[in-house]
Amino acid sequence: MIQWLVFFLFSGIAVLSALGVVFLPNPIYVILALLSVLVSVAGLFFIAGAELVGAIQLLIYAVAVTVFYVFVLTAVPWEKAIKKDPFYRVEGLISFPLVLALYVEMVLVFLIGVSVSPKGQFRELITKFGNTEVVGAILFSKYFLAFELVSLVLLIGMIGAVIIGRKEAQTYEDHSS
Amino acid sequence: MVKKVFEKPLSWLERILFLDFIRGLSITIRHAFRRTITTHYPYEKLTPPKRFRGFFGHKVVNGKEPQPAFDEWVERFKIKVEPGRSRCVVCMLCKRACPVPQLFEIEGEKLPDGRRRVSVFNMNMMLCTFCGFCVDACPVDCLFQSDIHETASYTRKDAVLNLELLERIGRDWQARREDEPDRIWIDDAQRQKLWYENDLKLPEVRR
Amino acid sequence: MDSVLAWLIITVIKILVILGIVLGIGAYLTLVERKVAAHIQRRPGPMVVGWHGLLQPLADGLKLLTKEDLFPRYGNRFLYNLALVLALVPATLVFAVVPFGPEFETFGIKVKPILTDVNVGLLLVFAFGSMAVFAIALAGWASNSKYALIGSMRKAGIVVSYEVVITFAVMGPIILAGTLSTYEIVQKQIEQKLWYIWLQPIAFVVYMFAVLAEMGRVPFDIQEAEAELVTGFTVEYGGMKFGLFPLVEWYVEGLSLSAIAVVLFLGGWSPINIPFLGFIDPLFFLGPLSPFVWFALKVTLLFLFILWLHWTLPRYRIDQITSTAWKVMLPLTFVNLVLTAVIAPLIWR
Ligand code: SF4
Ligand code: SF4
Repeated sequence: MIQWLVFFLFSGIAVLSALGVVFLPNPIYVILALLSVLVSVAGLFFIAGAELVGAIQLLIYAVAVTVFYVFVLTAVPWEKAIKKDPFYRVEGLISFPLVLALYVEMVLVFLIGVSVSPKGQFRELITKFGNTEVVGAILFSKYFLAFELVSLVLLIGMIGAVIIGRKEAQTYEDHSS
Repeated sequence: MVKKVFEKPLSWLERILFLDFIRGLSITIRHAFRRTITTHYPYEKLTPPKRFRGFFGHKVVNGKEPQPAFDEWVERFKIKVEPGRSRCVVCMLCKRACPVPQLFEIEGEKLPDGRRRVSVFNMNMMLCTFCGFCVDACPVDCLFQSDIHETASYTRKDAVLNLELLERIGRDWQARREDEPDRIWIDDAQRQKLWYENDLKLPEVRR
Repeated sequence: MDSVLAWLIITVIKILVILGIVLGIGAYLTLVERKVAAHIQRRPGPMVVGWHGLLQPLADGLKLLTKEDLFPRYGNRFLYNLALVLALVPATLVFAVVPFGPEFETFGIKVKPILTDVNVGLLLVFAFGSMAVFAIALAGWASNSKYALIGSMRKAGIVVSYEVVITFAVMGPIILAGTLSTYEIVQKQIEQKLWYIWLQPIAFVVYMFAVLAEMGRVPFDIQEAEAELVTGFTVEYGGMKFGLFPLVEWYVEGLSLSAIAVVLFLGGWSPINIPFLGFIDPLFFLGPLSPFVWFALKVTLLFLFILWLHWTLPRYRIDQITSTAWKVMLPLTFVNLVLTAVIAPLIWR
């Protein structure tokens, strides 16, 4: 009973703030709405018993990622932030099919996941071993290849970032000397 | 030639074990458990040294005027010398020397017997920078700076020192401190309290 | 239904007790800080209000409450006030996962002195702990002042770097304990008869550095930097709104992070430890109260140590701080992680 109430509370907040992300004019408010979405989704995870995912959602998305957005946006002077710049309409239109494909994929994955475990067999495992252990076990057995590939991609991204950063530093030095 | 002095770089041992941190921490902890050395201001007050540059006063005529300057100035301006009253000869040199001259309001008056004396002497302390130029300029050692340093007042009007007040400060100061030797630090028990430790610890202060 | 009701009542009582303790102690820590600072600088500190200034926090609070509430022109009033909420809530939420002592029984009910024993408690601690950065960034942006903005940008930069460091620093104890729940980490330490500081000195030092950075304490207090930024992001706040930020950042957050340090490295509520042999309890005469006293004692000592550091060290520059984080601290934690992975099987047995 209480669970359902809290669930609807959080999902209501999440949906409302998601609408806010799309429609609010002021970028700072948009970031705040995004933060609210992330936090309420973390709340949903907690209610569903996926504590690890909820905590990671908080730690990585709500804090680490959004901090960067805030970091960039607080550098915007307030006069500019209040102005309603036109949105990127053409770009939005072009990227629309891609986004649609992503959404379709998400729905598909969701449906497949339900069909794999329609009665929620994982729940027993989770209550038996604990959240973190189950995630770790699955990650390092079934999805090991995907996990390694993702870390490789991240490594490449990191190296790229370092190289781009270095280049700028060098041009700066050349300039000064 | 410019000689560049660099800090000695930390050795690896110091870096790993945070020896410089520990040195600093040990100093502060040693100080934390020693006696405190402050005065509890509104309850205890230190007497400032004699040369302290505080509120102003007018020294009064009491036979200790700088001679022959005082007699010369009195002669020149035909000043009426009254014992117990201000020594001011209305020469305006203090006003000339001041970087904010408009803070002075100095007027003299002519008495029926033909002699003159100062009648108005207002100093607006809101404008004063306490630089002491006026004191240096005064040829008869009249204007001086006393040890009164609690200069706050509730109204702007209270910040103006008039002749009466200046004389009162001067009389009080002459009674208290005129005979003191003119040193930076006085041999005061309160002041001793501040430096009690130096007497014990620092070799260069030990007598 | 009966058990649900009992659970609800106990939880509410716990929440009230924790909130009361945290905010009360937080307010009184201002006095502690002033006294420590004063004695380090050989002053007596507040002496007038009450015996040795004991009522000073109340006087300060009254003064702050009765002050005029100023608001900067062209600021954003909504965000300006929201920043306060964002500062206070996550900082106090951290205490939801701090275990204050072992399980005990009163009136036939077993009570764990921890609000919620989530099995990912530690992750929550760091998530909430670093959420303070939003408060600071918004406070800086909403008050429309360059000092505030610079302060908040600096703080965001520090938090971003030290968040990574702190997460890797606590990996060591987590591996040794094999759990993320704060309560169980302490129990594991008692079972293994080992404070993790004996095996994780590097992690402890790095963790302390990160705590200083997250709390905005010297040597990492550049977001306040009284000398150059006035007081950083709190410049435009007045009255109790101003008082809230240091209260949260320095005292509530400081308390929670030192409590977590005690939980992770100093064995929570366990008495003095001799590695692998057992525990010596000089406070045995307190009976069942002794664990709570031990916990409070350790947190107090750690907090005093932080204060001691604050009033001793000078301030680092922003580039020094971030380069220390990425070039020294992070590699150190990696080394520590590898070492821990090697020793861990010995500890598990
Ligand atoms: S102390 Fe300086 S500023 Fe003040 S009255 Fe004298 S000369 Fe003028
Ligand atoms: S310089 Fe001295 S004597 Fe001359 S007017 Fe000023 S106070 Fe009087």
